[in-house]
Amino acid sequence: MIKTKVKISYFLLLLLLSISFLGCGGSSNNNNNNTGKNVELQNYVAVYKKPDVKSEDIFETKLSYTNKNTLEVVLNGEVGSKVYVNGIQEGVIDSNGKAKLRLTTGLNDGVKTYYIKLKDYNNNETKVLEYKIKKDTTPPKISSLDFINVPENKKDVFTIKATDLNGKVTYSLSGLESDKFNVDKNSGKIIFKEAPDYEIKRKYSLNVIATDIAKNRAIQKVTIQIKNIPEIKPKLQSTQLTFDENSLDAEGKVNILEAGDTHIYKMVLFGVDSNLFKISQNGIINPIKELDYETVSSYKFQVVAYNGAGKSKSVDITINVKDIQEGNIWDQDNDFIPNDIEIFLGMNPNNSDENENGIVDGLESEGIHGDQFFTKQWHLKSLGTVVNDSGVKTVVGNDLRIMDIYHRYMGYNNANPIIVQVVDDGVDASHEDLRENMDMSRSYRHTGRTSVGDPTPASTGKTHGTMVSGIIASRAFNGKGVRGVAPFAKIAGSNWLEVQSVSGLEKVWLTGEGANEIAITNNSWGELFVKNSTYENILQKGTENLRDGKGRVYVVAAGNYRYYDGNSNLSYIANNRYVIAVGALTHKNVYASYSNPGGNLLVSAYGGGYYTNSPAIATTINEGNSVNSGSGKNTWSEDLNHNYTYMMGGTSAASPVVSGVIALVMEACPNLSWRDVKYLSATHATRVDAGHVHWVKNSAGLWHSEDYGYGLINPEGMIEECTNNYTNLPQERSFEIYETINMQLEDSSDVVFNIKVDENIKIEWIDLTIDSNHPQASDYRIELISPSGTVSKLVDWSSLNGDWMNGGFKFGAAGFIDEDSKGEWKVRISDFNIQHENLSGTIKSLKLKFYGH
Amino acid sequence: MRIVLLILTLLVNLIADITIEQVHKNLALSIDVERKKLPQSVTKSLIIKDNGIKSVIEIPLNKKLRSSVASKKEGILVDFSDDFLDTQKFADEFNISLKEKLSIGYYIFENSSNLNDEKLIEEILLSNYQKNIKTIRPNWKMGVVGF
Repeated sequence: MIKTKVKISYFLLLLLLSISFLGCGGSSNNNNNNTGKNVELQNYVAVYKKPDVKSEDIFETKLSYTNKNTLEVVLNGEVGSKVYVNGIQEGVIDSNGKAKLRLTTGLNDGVKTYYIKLKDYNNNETKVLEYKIKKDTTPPKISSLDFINVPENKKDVFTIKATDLNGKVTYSLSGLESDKFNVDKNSGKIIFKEAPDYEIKRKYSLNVIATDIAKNRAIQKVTIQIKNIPEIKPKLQSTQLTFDENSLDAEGKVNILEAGDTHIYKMVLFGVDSNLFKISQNGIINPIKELDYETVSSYKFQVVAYNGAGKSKSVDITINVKDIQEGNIWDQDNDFIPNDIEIFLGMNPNNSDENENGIVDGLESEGIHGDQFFTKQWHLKSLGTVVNDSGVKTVVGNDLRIMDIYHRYMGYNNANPIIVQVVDDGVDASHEDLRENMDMSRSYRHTGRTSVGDPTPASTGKTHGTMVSGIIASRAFNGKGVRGVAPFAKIAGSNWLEVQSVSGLEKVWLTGEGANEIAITNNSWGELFVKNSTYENILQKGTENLRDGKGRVYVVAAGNYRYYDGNSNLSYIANNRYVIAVGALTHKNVYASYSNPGGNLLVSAYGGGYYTNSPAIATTINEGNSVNSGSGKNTWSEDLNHNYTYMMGGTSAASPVVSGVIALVMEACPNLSWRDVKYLSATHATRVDAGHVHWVKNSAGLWHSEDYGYGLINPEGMIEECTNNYTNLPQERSFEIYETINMQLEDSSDVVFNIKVDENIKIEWIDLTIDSNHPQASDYRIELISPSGTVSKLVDWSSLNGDWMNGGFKFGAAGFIDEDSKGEWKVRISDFNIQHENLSGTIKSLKLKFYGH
Repeated sequence: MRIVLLILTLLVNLIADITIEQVHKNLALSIDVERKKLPQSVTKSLIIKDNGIKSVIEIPLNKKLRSSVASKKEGILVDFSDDFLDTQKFADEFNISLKEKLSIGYYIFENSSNLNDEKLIEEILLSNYQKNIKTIRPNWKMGVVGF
């Protein structure tokens, strides 16, 4: 039923529109059936009729105005017919069958009538038209109200409504207050430019103007009354702001929740401390003078906000002054010594040059707080000077870039020092520059029965461990000798190298007294070839269980057998995933001539060259054991008591540099796991000797080299990352792929195995185990190639004898960190024929094991 | 957890797909260099088993070891397979005695037999117990040096 009504209504509407269209005629369209119809054309009204139409289709009239007073008429007719207007011939139907006439309006806007006739060639009258034309002088009619009530705080006002004979009307405003409004000229919609406020102005007047096409205008005065809305106070929130001290640019904003029923037009401060600050209308507070944290660290006052309704609200404001140190918050006098260490040592944390010799305390080599040979320790700060009797200068900038870290971290760790274990041939625990940093409760003496005790070597000739320990943590600012990389860390010593028992190693690496709290173990030892899983078995437990499950970090030297074609990947001590294998750099930032390469290397650090012809590493030595003159001289002549040496070198020296760096990193970020430390070491290492051909960029954008690992350890980068919202690595995932091969590989041949991997993890480490009965397994060069094409040479041919790959040998691959495991991997094995020995073997099996997350 | 890892490993093994892409003769691999004499060229061959792999290893010998290795009876290290429990019977059979068990699962036996450590290990690896042994080595100095 309802549908039927709708249909009928729709039909009627269409009918009315059709009639209206015919009646009004549009504008200048054809009018073939237009007798007696009014045609509205722009600003004119034309009334015309055809009293003598014989046939509708022979006659066409087009009407259009060419200017304000002229109507143009186009007639259709027989070619050659004459056109008469009010009896006077005005034209002829042209060859196109058309004639154009221009008819003007009458004077004084009166109606003027035109009679138009067409006569054919024989003067027979064919058509007659009558036009009555008058000018449009009728203005639009405004129908909207002249008094409007609108609520305050709203911009909408009303919409002007007007009608006009010719339809189209435009709108505008006038009057003194019309500038407060905007009007849409087509729709007539009027809005306030700014929402009205009853409390400020309650009534507005303006003229609305409607203009038609003929420029006829209708004007109506409109009064707009603003309606009051009930009063609401502003809402503010108590606010705590932090302003940097010593800065007039410090700024904060009061939290304005609501302005009430109008805007906030005024904010003022009051209270005891308010005279030190100013506030703007929108709540921005600034200090009037520079604040000083040391004088007052916090201010309190009140802010009152007034809205247009005259309502106000006050809230408490607290300004906390941020301590911006002249240099560093942790090192007030900016002397490269943290405040707490200066206090601990009885130094003045606000005096950067206590002995007033022009050298800041943290770089001091003189006086009771100096380190006598600090300026020789180029690995800490390279001054570009000669540091030993080699006569060779170091290179400025080729150092650990560690000085800025010393503003905050030195291993002291709020009087809870980071503990670094040194497993070596012992440590001279009473050494003047070590004894204050010795942790005797976690030190082990293995001579005889393994037990907690003094790790001092039985023989004074055993100096290796003391040199290693000095690199890590010889005490700084004590008026003696040198300083360690982490000069306030603790050393847990051990003379395990003197006995080398498995049970002793388990004790120091895993189960010993206070083992859980030892953060790092440094191991500056190994062998050219080690195929003994015992090490890895202990390390696995240590990384799983110690440090409350975060794992101890084990740092090992890569080895010094490069001359013998040695490779770090030939030792199960250095090529397992639980350790950080460290290569050695010289002062030129290139790998040392002795430093083992290997695909298992993670990072490098300074180990120096041979001390007679190159800068080496300055450190402690068993007291009285160095030579300061003559033959065998290995310390400075100023080392009167023979307690130090400038001869330490090797990956044995590079390894404790890394151990010291990691002590600082773990002081900064104590929650890092052993995997995080490895990951940060790799991802932030500095690519030195960038032009060297062995660098390979993996698909994660990390550069790795068999000579450098990921490069020089970078303490600043590691600490920067781990202290800035670093998230520990997710739980470790692993999987392996094993395949029996049994393929004879001829000498002087290479083979590529494709290995399809479906599992996808982000790689941290890969073990590749190859079982081959080659009688001289060192003839093999073995490369692992990732799906993205990253090539890592795990091991190269060497002089090592025997079929050591028989039964399987496991190589480590460190160079694929952050690559995806999924895809096709390749293992390329090349069998070198050395000196025409023509030795070959069978590749029995391959196993790839991936570790990552 | 170990079971899950084992299953995962087995699954991966099942779908392992290793193919030989190419084998090719490469004359560049023939090089005429002299093998370097290694720093510790005097070694002693020993049969051991390490993590399931039986092999002959070369123990670098210093002067002291050279004269004493034949008579060394410092004991042996044994890591048994997880399901092996009868260590006392094992010790009795070879006339050795348990000195210490390490946290990593290794047993250290004193060698009270009439064999030296080298021969004792060979004997054990020829016995039926060899299948129960993951690792067996002489409990000697581990043979490393400071770098």
